[in-house]
Order: sequence, then C-alpha cells, then structure tokens
Amino acid sequence: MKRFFSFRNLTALCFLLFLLVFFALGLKPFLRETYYALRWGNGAEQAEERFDEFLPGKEQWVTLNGGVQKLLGKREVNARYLLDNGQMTYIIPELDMSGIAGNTADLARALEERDIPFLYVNLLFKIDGTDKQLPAGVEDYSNENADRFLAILREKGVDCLDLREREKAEGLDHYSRFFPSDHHWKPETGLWAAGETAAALQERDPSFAFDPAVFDPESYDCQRHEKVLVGSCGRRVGTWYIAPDDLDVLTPKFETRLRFSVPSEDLLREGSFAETMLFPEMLEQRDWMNSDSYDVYCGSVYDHLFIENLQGGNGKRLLVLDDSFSLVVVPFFSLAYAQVDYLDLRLWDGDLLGYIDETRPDAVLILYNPGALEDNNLNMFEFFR
Amino acid sequence: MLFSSSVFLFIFLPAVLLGHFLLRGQRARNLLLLAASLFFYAWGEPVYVFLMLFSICANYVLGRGIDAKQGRGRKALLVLAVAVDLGILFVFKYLDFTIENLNALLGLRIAPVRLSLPIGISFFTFQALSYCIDVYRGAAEVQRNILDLGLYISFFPQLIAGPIVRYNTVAQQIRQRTVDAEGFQQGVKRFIIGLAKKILLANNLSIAAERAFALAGAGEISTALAWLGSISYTLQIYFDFSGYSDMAIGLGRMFGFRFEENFNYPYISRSVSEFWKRWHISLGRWFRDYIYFPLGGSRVSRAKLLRNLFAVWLFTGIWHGAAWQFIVWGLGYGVLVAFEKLSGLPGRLRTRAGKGLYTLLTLLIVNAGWVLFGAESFAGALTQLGAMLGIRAAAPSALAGFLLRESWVFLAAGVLFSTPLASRGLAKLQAGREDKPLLILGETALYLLLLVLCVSYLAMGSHNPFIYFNF
Repeated sequence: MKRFFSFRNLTALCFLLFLLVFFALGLKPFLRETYYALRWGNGAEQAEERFDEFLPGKEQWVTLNGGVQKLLGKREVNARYLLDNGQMTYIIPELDMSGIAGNTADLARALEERDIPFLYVNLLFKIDGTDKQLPAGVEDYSNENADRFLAILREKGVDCLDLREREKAEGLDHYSRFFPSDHHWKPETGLWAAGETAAALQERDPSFAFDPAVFDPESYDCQRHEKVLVGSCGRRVGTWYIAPDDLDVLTPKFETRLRFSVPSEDLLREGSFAETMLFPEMLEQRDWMNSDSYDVYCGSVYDHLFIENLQGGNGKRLLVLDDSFSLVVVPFFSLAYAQVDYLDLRLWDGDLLGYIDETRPDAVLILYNPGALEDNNLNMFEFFR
Repeated sequence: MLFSSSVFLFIFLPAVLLGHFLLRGQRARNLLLLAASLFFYAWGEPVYVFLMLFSICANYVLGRGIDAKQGRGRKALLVLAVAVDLGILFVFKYLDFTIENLNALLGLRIAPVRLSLPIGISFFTFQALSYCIDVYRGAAEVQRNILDLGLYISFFPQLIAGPIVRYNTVAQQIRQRTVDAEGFQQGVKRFIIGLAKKILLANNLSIAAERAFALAGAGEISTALAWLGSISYTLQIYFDFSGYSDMAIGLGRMFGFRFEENFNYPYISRSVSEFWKRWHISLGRWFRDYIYFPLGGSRVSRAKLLRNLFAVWLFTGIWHGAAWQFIVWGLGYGVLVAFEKLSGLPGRLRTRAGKGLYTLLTLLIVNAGWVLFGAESFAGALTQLGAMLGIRAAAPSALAGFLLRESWVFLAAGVLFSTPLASRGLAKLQAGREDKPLLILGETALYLLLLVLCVSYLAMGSHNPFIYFNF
C-alpha cells in the first residue's frame, strides 16, 4: 500500500479511503440485513434494498441529491412531483375500478345480510381533481379513478360519503389542508374528516348522534412544532429540495378518558387524550429518514388498533377499515363513540367477516383515500380472504 | 449485484480489494478472485451458480481432452465442447422461443419450459467457447489449473455485461500480472467514469426512453415524444453499456488485468460498418474470429461473402435476445453492412456534403435500430418508428415538453460525451502538466465529485434499470 501514498496517485488513494470508510460503517448493517433476508427466506434483492435504507449518511446523501435536482430545475424526482404551488406528491395512473368496487359491494351486501349499516367514506387525495397543479404533461387519475369507483358503488346501492364533495361545498382551500412535503393531510383536516364522517352517520341514523363539541376546532388547544415534519415525499428528495413542515398537535380542552390498545404489539395505554393518543417522542427524533413525526398521533400504523372511550361517548361500537390517512382521524373520531376497532387490511390478515360476526359492531366504515384505489393496495379490498 | 449498487460499491469491492492487497502470490490472489466471482454470481443467482460451475468443469475437461488428442478425436471433442456450451445457451435462452415458433408454425401444443434466464449467460458461454476453440487452434495453451480456468470464465468484472474477453488475450495475465500504483489509479479513474456514465447519464436518460416505449407499446405516441424517446434511448444504451464496460475495464485494471476496449465513440461513425467496429467491439471480434474468418471472411466469392455476412448478423441478432425483433434488428444490420461492402459506400462519395449526409443517415439508422431493439414489442417498435415519421402518430401532448425540460441537461451532456471532444480537451489541458500539483488536485476533485454524485443517486434509490436481462 505504501506506493499509493505518492501524490500522483491521489485519486486512487482518495477512492480507496472513501470505500474503506463506507465499508467500515456499512459492514455491520450489511451483515445484519443479509442475515435477516436469508433467515426469512427473502433473496439477496431484499438484503440490498434493506442495506440501501441503512446506508451510512443516507440522509445527507439524499439531501445533497435533492439540492442537485433543485439546481437542475427538475420537477420529477424519485417518482415524486413538484406541484406548481411548491407542494409535492406522487401520481396515480388510470386504473380499472370494477374489481375492487365489486369486492366492496360484496362486503356491503354481506353486512346488509347481517343487518349492520355500512358506509364507504372517500377521503381526499393530495391532488385536487379540479385544480391539479401538476406540471404540464403529467397526468394524475386518482380523482377520476375515485369518481368511477364511487359511481359503481352507488350503482350497486352502496352507501357512500365523498369528502371531496363536502370540501367543495364548504369552499375549503384544498392544498392548505395538506403537508407540502407529504401526501398526507394535516391533523386539522383529520379532525374535519372525523366530524364529517360522524355527521354522515348521524344523518343516516339519529341514534348515532354525538356531542358536536368533539369535532369543533375551538374545543382543541393547538401547539405548533416548527419544521419537524419531513413527509413521505420529502424523505425521497431531501430537505434541500423541499423544506420541512410545521406540525400542529391538537389536544382537547374537554376532559377525556380512553383506552388505546394494539393487540399484536402488546401495547396498552389508558388515560387522557394526550396520554393515550399522542406519542410526543416522535417529535423529538431528528432522524427524519427513519422516523416520521406524523406518528405523533397514534405512534404508528397498526394492523389492529382498538380504542375504547371510557366516558362512553354516544354508546356506539364501530369497525373501521382504514389507511395511513386515518392516523390523524382516529384520535378525534374515537372521542364520539364508545369503542372503535380500526383494521388496516394491508397489515391485518384475519378473517374479516368472522371478526364482524364475533364483535357485532353497530356500523362498519371504510375510510380510504383515492390513492389507495390502486393495484399495489389490492389487499385492502380483499375482504373475504 | 450490479456495479451501480451500494452493496457492490461499499461492501463487495472494498472487501475484495482489501483481500487482494493483503494476499501475496498470484495463486492466492487468483483463488480470492475466483471465490469472489462465484460469490458475486451466487448473490443474484443462487441456483444458476451451479450451472456456471458445471460450465467451468465441462470446459476444463473438454479443453484438456482437446489438448491431449490429435486428428479427428481432437475435432470431435471440439464439436462436443461447442455442443455443450451452445446447448446450455440454447436450453436457457432459446428453447421457449423455439417452442413458441414451432407451435405457431406447425400447430403444435408443446408447453414452454419457462426457465428464467441466468444473468450473463451469453457472456460467460462465449468466453468458455473462446477457450476451447483457442486451445483447439493452438492459439492458447491449455489451462491445467481448473481454478484459473474458473477465474477466466467467471471473473466478476466482465461477468454480467462484458466485455467478452477472448481467452488468448488474458491467458498470460491469469498466470502472471502485476498491480502497480499507476495501473491501479487508471483503473479507479476508469471505474468512476463508467459509474458516472451509468448512474448520472444512462439512468436519467432512461426516464424519457421508457415512457416513450410504454406509450408506443400502448399505440398512442406523438411524433415529438417518439423522437425524444428514441434519442434518449440511443444515448442511454450507449452510456449504460459503455459505462459497464468502463467499470469492467477499470476493475480489471485494479486487479492487474488489461481488457481490450469495447467502445470507441460509435456515434461519430461515418458508416454502418464503422459503427460496428466501434460498438461492442469484443462481440464483433468474437464473431469475426470464430465465425466470419473460419467461413472465409471477405476473401471469397460474392455469394459466399453474403452468406458469411448473413451468418454473422443472424447470430449477432440472436445473441442479443430470443425474440424476432432482435433477429430483424441483426439481419437489418447485415443487409446494411452488405450494401456498404458491395456498393463501396461511403468511400465512393467525393464531396464533404455527401459524406456528411451519409454520416447523418448512419446516425438515423442506428437510432431507428435502437427503437427496434429497445421497444416492448415488435408492434410497439413499428408504432414508434411510424410516429417518428408522422405516420399514425398520436396528437401532440405536453408530455414530450415536460420530459425534455426534465432531461435536457442529460441529453446535452450525453451528446457531448458521446463524442471525443471532452476527452480530447481534457488531454490537451493535461499535456505536459501531469505532475503539476494543481492539476492533480483538480483532477482528483473532479473524480471525487463524480463519485459523490453517483453515491447520492444510489442513496436516493432512484431509477437504476438493468438492461442486459436479455443477454
């Protein structure tokens, strides 16, 4: 090696040092991820993917790359798009909705046979169907897919609530209700969605009446945490491309007493809203590549989350099939009812109808955003597995 | 494991380099490189690594047999070796294609075998063939050490994307080679250049190319997008393939090997024949040495010349993939090369304008050829080629404009670096100043910048296609 220390060979020396430093830092995660990949019967491809996630200095590398992309004026970076208004999102291609709509109608029919009310709630997608803000030439079909999906459901007599219609009817500004660096909506929007859904249930059956103060923003204290959220899009492009977002933590001014349990993780919490629904440690983590401060609500996405309102709410027991948009809906929605079961079918692989027969909820709801209506999420519509 | 992956760059390569420097003696180093190469292959192909081991053993035994025998027995063993190597290639690469065509032609219902294609099978099979043929011809000494033969067939730098190293060009280096600081430095630079070609240029250019192929496959592509896609793919495939070759040559150099060049600025070619002397040179030389010359080359009657050209270009097409579009692509080039040989073009052109127009025509033909090569299907290729000429093109859409805005920097860089202008400029700048500290610092900074940018793309997990799955 001695001969490489000649100044003429500086490039080779720097290259070797570069590789060796990363070798020293990366060997442990590489061996760990390879071991897990082999142990779980996954191939080398999986080990490589996992190693990439733990690449030494990943956050800095992504930030640097995002800076370069910004310098080049690129609006499509790592399969994410920069909108005209400075926000980011992914796009959805035009897809056939008949299969998943048929499955949903079958579920509605199975519930009707059991005399259990069912409501499909179409949440909002990051892209507003009437004001897409996408670069010219880039097309997104999330809203068109949702339109066709809901049309099929309505044709088959399935009860639907389209929150896009509610948003338009109330004249709300769509994009300000989402995080610029994320495809998810803000907690304030989650509170609004919870209130709209609860109102729709009450409208259909007065016995679902709730205390309107539960969904009134005035009933909440708001604590703003500045620049703590690097959303799902931001994580792919870095903070030199899009700045971190502020995150509001809402806590009820009224008294609350809840039980929050995740059976698969042996997680059980009991106490006030702040003691059960909030995970403030998520705000303290500055490793935005491997943590998500959005998880300050509920802590994470779970296969099965069970929330009991120990004050009783309106006495109703609900079952909700949801996606990640519900992280900021769940905490507020649960306050109106006696208990709510939340199942995420991407993670939960139980027998849904068997579970419904066992628990006999007063109503079953699906809360999916239009982005969920795609091929990769098909298991979200496999209700009869 | 691709060269353009973080596992290769940060785990595999430093580990092998470290081992190579720590070990003393050629035998130990060869053993390390063989073990590393088999691990490299087994990482992505845990089952097919046994196919490679079989290929190594079979060619070792047959090579020894060819060397030991004389006369007809020697020839019979060569035929057997060719049958074994081509048999492997046929079963894994062409069997289903043959079955599908037989079914279509004869109305049979033979079920396809559906074997997955082992990565790099066309490369390592051709190398194995080269060994047996060279031993038969006496162009190379038989390899008595199976481990060294194993290293030749499986050596990881050229295993999955070439260049195809003919045995007689590296036999001596396997036995005896030296790694010196200057050679290592040249290898490092070449590797970084190759990595940058692949990650910074090819991967970014692939975005427009893939969109165009997808839309053409769906039968709805505009003229502008068809052109943008074809030009992007023309540049992508050059920087991807030549980038891999640069990385292979650079890696070889780091371990003391000198591989022959595989690309020589093919897009400045003045004729189709010249293009194929500058593109994938190792494949051209392989066909020249092992098919074209044995058939008599060009010093034969016109009819035989056409037969020889037809054979070479048919095999060139088939080698690139088991599909009719590759065969048509290969034969198309055969027709063009035959036309140039028989017509004397472009040599007969006297004016600069005529020569310039012929150069432009060559580039357009190559560009159209890549559409045929890269399209999702034959029909998709015809749709895109038609749209480029305005035939049944979709209405203009804003997508072409968007993709152009996104990729113009890479297109401009691609055009520049596909000519020798930049490297000539750099060489001129360096001439006589190689030892100036400022120049050394500047050059090091430039290479490190390229490396850092490449790593940032890898860390980003951005689009990193592997386009040799057909080979």
